[in-house]
Amino acid sequence: MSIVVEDFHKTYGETVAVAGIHFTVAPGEILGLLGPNGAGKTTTLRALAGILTPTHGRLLIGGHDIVREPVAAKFELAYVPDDPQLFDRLTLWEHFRFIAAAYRLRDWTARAELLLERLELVEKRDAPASELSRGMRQKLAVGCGYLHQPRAVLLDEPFTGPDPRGIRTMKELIREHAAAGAAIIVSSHLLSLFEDLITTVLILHRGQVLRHDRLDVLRGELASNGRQETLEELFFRLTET
Amino acid sequence: MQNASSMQNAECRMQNEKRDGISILHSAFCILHSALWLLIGLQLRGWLRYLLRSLRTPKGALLGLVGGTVFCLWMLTVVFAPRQGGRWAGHDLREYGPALLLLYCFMNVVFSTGERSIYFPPAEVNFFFPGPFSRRQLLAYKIASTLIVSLPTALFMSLALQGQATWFVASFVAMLLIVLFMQLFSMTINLLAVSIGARLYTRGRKLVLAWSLLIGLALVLRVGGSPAHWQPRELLHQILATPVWKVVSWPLHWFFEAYTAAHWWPDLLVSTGLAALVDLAMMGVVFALDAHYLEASAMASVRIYARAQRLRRGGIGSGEGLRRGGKVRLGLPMLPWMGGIGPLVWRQLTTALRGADRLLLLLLILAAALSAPILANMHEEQENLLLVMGPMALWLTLFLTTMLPFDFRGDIDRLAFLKTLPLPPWRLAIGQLLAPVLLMTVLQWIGLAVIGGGSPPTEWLLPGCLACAVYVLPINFLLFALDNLLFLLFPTRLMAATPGDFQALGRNVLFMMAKAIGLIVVAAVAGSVGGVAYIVSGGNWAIGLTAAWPVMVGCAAALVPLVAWAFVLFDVGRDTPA
Repeated sequence: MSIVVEDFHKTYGETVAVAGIHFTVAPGEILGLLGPNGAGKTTTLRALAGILTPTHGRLLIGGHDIVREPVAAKFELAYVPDDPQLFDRLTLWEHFRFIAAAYRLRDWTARAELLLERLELVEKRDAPASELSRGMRQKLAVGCGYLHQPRAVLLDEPFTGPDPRGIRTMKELIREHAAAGAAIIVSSHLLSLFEDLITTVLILHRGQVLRHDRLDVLRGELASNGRQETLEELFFRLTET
Repeated sequence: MQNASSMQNAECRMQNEKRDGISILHSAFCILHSALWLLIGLQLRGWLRYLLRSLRTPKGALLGLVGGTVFCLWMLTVVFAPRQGGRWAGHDLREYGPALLLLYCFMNVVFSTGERSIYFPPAEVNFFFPGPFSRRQLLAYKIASTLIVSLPTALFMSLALQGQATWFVASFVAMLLIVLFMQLFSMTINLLAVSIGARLYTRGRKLVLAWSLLIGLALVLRVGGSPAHWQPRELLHQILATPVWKVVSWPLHWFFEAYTAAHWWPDLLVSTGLAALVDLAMMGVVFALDAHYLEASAMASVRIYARAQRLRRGGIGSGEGLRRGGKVRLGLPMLPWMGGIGPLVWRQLTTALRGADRLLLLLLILAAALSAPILANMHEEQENLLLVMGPMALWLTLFLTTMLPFDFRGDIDRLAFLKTLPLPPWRLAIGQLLAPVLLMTVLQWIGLAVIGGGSPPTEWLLPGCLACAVYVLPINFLLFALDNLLFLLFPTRLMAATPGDFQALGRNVLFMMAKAIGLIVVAAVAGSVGGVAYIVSGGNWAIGLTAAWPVMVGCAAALVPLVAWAFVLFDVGRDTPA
């Protein structure tokens, strides 16, 4: 398994952000992490990325415990937050240079050029990041994430900034990486943009898993029960009852 | 390739983990990931590129030229100024320097209330924390970047204090080591706080304070005897001569031995070497602690970033201190419409009220500055008191206008919204300017009332205070209008300046000069009218001042159309700074 979450708890004093969740994401799987605000989605992603320390439980990336073997785990990982912060005075290409050096990549330039082209950032190649719009910043962060071909990808709200073409490219990249064997978690509120991408759904609510199933199983279940529900309707039904 | 790099990294990590004790120091230099070295280089290059880019526009070039010229002139005066015989060098510095440094360290522990974690800017959190770096590698990066930032700081301070130093090389090296020590000390305290937990740290801090006070008191009583016989300077000398102090200050005194060194050998090299060892020992402590600081740093980064963003947007005085539980407690009743001016003033005053801590600070500065002459002249003649206080208050106002940006300056990201309001520009300008003018005036009136009430009555005190109270209003309006006019013509963010930013220096110099010139011109015009009235009335001060006041008001009011013009001219797409 590429991503394993076992009995993960995260508390801040009296506040429980995540209360003992379990799930796994296999290579090639695209897990859609759903939940209302404050459900614990970002906390889970940040803990998986090694930014937050779990109060209890184990989080494994490519078989490496993110707490005990953080560097080995992070070598397998890419995390793109919902509001990516960049080095404002570095150019786009310099961001790639830094990532290549950080992950000790060789022969990375062709891949970086390709990513720039696919993300429609070629014209901005030598512009400082401070000159980028929000959508472009998100695209660059995604580009930096994919440069080292990670086995586990964590994307927090990746579709809120880019334009429609950018969203399409991002989806293509996600599918390609999953096809190449990466385990991917995508968190998003935009359920309609999500539905044609994910293979598995995990609905979080108040730090607990409400539902975790393959999308086709869920759809089949809904059809067999005679419900004419969309994923969005299912989400509201589960989180509002 | 991926597996190979993972293995290589795992190997490095294992090697690093095997190292303990003294070899941790070795790792401080060796474990700095090559990518982090590269990033430091890229950041420096990016900073230079930013400076050069900003010089390409005519405004940028002008500001850069003025700032660079002022800086060069200042440097020349510092470098070629006659030496003051190394006033600080020698015995005094060696004796009191360690005490001052220790005092800084002590204050840092006891009085620091801010974020207790190592701060990484959001971009670093974004790339470093999920990246393949160990905590120690990130600490090494932090220390390396601290050292790089300390270099210009130490150079600047050594140059500024050159007149007081024995030898530039010695003062620079010592200053660098002192600055580094202070940074490492802060880092150690932060890591300690993360290691033992915030609550325990707060309790520990109180214990440190209590124990230090007790030990200090015991030392003073032992050395000085009965409080009736205490002579401050004598007492300090006696304390500094005690064996306890000698032991405590021993590691610190090498910094000051290095600062006062007169020759390379043995003075400078030996003392520098020993001071560097003290810094290395601190580094060893930092690496040995190796606390799980990432979460605390990430959370602190989010909070500090949010605060910085508010400041960038001009949200100074957003009143964090007055909000409890997400509710805003202080509010003002809506002002009358007054052609649209009322709601604008209400908005700015409400914002200011919710940043009451800033207003109190301003009041304290004013009170401290204005009461100094009273205290200084307590036992002397009070005749010249107002003559001293008046210009001082004026001079202070010239500087303190930046502390009350409840006008266009604080609305840099809201100028587009202001342009959509259904108001003519001149009314908008008045509405935007009135709040800081009123606030500053009220603060000055409070200061004047305190001074007037606290001073022994003289013939000139009451009329002088009254005259000041009447005149501060147009003067404040004039100064804030000038500030806003210049801001709209040369827009910048309040928190935009970075080290080595000659444009920011140039902007400050130009703004200050423009304000001073504006004030002098208006004072000359109003003074001429007042002078004529004074002569015609046969030497009546009241008539002279009364005649000059409307002239001053007229001059201040004449700036309103100019501010309105600059507001219309401001293109939010082109002129809003990044």
